[in-house]
Amino acid sequence: MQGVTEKHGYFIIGKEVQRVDAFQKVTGQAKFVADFDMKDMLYGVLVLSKYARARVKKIDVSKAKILKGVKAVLTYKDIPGENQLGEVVADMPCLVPEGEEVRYHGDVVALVAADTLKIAKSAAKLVEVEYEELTPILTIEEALKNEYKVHPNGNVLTSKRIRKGNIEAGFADSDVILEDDFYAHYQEQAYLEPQGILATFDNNYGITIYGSMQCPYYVQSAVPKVLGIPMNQVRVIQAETGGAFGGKEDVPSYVASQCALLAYHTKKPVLLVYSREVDIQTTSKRHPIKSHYKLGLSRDGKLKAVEITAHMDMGAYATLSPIVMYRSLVHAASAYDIPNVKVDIDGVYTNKVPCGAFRGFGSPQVLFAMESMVSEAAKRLKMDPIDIRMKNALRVGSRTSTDQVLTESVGAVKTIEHAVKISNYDELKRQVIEFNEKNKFKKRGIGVSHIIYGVSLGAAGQHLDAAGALVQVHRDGTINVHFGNTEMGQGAKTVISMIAAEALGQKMDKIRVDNPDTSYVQDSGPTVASRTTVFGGNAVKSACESIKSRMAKHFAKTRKVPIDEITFENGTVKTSNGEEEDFGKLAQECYDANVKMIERGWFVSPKLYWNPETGIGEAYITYAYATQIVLVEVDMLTGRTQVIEGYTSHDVGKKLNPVGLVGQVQGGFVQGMGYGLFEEIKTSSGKILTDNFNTYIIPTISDIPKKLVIDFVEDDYSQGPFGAKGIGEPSLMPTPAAVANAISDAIGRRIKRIPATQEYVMNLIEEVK
Amino acid sequence: MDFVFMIPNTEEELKTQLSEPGSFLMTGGTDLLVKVRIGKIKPKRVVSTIRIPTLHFLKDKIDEIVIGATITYSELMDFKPLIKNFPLLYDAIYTVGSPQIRNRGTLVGNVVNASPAGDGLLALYLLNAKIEISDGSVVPVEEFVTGPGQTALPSGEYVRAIHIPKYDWSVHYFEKVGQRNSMTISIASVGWLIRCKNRIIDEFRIAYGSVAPTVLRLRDVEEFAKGKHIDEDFTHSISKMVEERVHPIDDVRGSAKYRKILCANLVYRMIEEGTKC
Repeated sequence: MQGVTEKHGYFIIGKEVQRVDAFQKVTGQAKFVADFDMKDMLYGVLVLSKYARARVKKIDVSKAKILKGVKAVLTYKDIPGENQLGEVVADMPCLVPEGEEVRYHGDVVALVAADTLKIAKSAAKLVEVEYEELTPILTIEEALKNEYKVHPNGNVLTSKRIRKGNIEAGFADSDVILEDDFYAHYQEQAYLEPQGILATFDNNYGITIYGSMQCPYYVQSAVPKVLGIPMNQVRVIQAETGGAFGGKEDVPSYVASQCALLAYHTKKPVLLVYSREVDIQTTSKRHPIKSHYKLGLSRDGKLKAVEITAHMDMGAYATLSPIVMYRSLVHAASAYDIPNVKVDIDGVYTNKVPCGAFRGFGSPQVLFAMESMVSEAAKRLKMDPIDIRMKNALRVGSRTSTDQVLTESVGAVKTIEHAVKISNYDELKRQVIEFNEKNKFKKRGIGVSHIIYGVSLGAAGQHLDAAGALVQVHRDGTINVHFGNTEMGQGAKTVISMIAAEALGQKMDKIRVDNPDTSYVQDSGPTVASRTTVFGGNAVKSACESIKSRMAKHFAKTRKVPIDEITFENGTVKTSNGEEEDFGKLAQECYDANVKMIERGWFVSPKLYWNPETGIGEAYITYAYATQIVLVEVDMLTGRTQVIEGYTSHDVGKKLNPVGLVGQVQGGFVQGMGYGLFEEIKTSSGKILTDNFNTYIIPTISDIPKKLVIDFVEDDYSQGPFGAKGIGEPSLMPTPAAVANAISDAIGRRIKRIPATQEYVMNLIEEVK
Repeated sequence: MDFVFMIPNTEEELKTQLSEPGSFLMTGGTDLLVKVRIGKIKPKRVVSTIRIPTLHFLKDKIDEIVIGATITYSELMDFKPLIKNFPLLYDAIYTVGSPQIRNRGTLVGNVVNASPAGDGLLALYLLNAKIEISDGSVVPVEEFVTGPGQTALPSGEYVRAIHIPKYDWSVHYFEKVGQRNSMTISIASVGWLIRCKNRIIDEFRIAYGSVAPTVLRLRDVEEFAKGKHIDEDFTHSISKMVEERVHPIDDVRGSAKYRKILCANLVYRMIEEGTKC
């Protein structure tokens, strides 16, 4: 910032503050979309496919339409624009037409709007759809045969690869070679609030959409296409969002398109809120990934070569799969300096629920596999799992698996050192040996994992990687911050408030961060990829700094003091000679002097070089690193695992909101643990059986470890606001792998599948017998 | 999902209201309302017992305790004679749902619900509990439950109370294997009661949940155990017998194969437990 003194100490950054939206959420004042009520509001309900694959022969809505209270029953014929959805590949119909195939148990055939939810549900049951059942593709193996095609062009949509070094030479140069197969299953995002949209029709404006969402700009692109109206007639405002975890990245575009169609035809506000069962049955999950790993090492544990082939089950539609695959590709060989890397990943269509974005975006599945291989290699070489990771860890100057040279902010080694220290690792190992000698039916084990995580969208998503902000300082010194990213429970509003407060020198309680509204701020990309603090934060910071700079100029001119001696801190503007003014009073003075007190910020990703043919290049702008050590106890009589202790160290660049960081890591740990242990989607003929929280098992407070020690490494990232990187996803990434490694250690058999359910673990124990 | 909800204040009113066809009895509702929501049952009317004072009682008699129909799990857990005389029942109901569910759910509801996975029910099987029906009859719980979700409760009648006879046991054990530590339905559950001296068994009862159409008492195993010394060989033999006698099915929580393994394995907990006598 020009003209104003840069201080090294921060008055708000790095301090413990109260979450800005805590009070409203805890007291129930915060309104979620299902709480919305408007005059003449209608309720929407979907008519879903009852088959995994079938041809829709006839849709008869006549009985549904005549039911009293029904205001609309829509089919594909009622779509005024394009009947195509899909953020990356437009392969998904909004409403499946007659003559076409439903491709999964959850495709939408018709929409109903009625005066009450009850009437809408009754009407949905009266929609008669005649199907011709067809043989569905339910596994990756069946899909690869291409006997039946989910889409006309074949079942492999896209493939990605890395070719670094010379893989044959790498294996020839290795003393030890290991190979194995791994499988990581689905995971459901399990956000507390299901999908929900309120669409209102307004003759003067067009359509306004309120909803639970991560990416209002995706919605603003999708809805006009389906309605066949220009973008400036659709305004999207994010409602409070009760959790998302990637599940509200592109899915709300589909929900909003359905809801907007109903509003468009009825000219009335329509509320469409999915039931938990509809939500789980129809919306995207974490991809199942099958992988084969081959690892080559020297006798002393140096990684020489890794060869990986993987297949992801995309389900019936591409959704975000091609870009999820990109992240799987880059993270497949994890956080190590390996000279020879060969990775091949295919995205495969099946007649099952489409998979898409979920915290980690295709990486925990492959990190689990790679980290299992590294621990297995350590075992084979009689090395400690920590030592083998330290030996191969990335440092400044190292090259990643895509041959990107790391130039700064590489806290990887420090996270290993910290994890060892906070866990008292040697003592922990000793205690485990002692416990296992004493106990026959309970066995303990230690698991280690070490991960890398690319921050933001990376080379493949550069076209979306920018973010904006609109900051206005009012004459009373209070501030409205509009930015293009969303608060969905992760704490974005709090960290953005802190950044704005620090950058302006105003008190945090004078700042209000508004929910994104597409009419205020330019498309700021999605709120995903652990990018909000860096991208939204930088945009807000730059807008605030411009306004502060003008305020400083006014202050210098009126007080006749040198501009470089002015400081703004915690609501007070000061000079070294004792001149002092309240921030709000100075704002009033600026208004009176016609100073511009509103400003835009815009942050653009540093440009990255990438060769998609070889998978070589600068995959991400920077990386976060983490090391985790967990202690588990396995009941050898039941196969049940309890995580007893967890120690986790994360390189975050710079701690902006320390309380928020801890919250993210706690949440990420628990969600990763659930994925590692018992969250399991079970299906029958492509239909999801575990479609509510009675059968889809997520951790409760009784399952979390008694001890979870969280540590942060600060290694500044020069492009991040105040040096920060992201934490949203890296918080989850190490846990499934660490838990799997710990179980393997406890039972003496390698876990090759997650979730490592008690039944799976029991079967492994029984095999030994 | 529309139904009439009735809250009678006396047992007489209850009886009248229950006589209407399509009426469902609600004593807590933690299971009933879930089934109504998913459309598994479609009641015309639901009659709640919650406001009937004559069903809300706990009696600690010399030879038994009597638990009234509307006593919640939480109330039971606070009832000192329960934990003193029937720690097995206490352990079993402690595993039911969550504090919120235990604040609503009742043991009588658990009995009438007649799920083979009923945690409280398994304890009642082991304790030879008797069910007092509104027509004045008193039936052993094992005869009362006739199948999954099925009971011998005559139409229009309701359960007034549960009688549990007091008896001294040296060892009690209950374990529920679920998919997580709380808010879980059992994949398999086991309980046993042992009277013993110097590890020699005098009297033995064992029951399994979630592995047959009803909770399963294994009488021949109980008979076999009499006079035996609790050691590894003994648990080995019992384990084998159990494996042959349980007939679990596959469901969304676990396979039949896994359930069989659990039943056989859980017996080995007795080795540590047996040291208590």
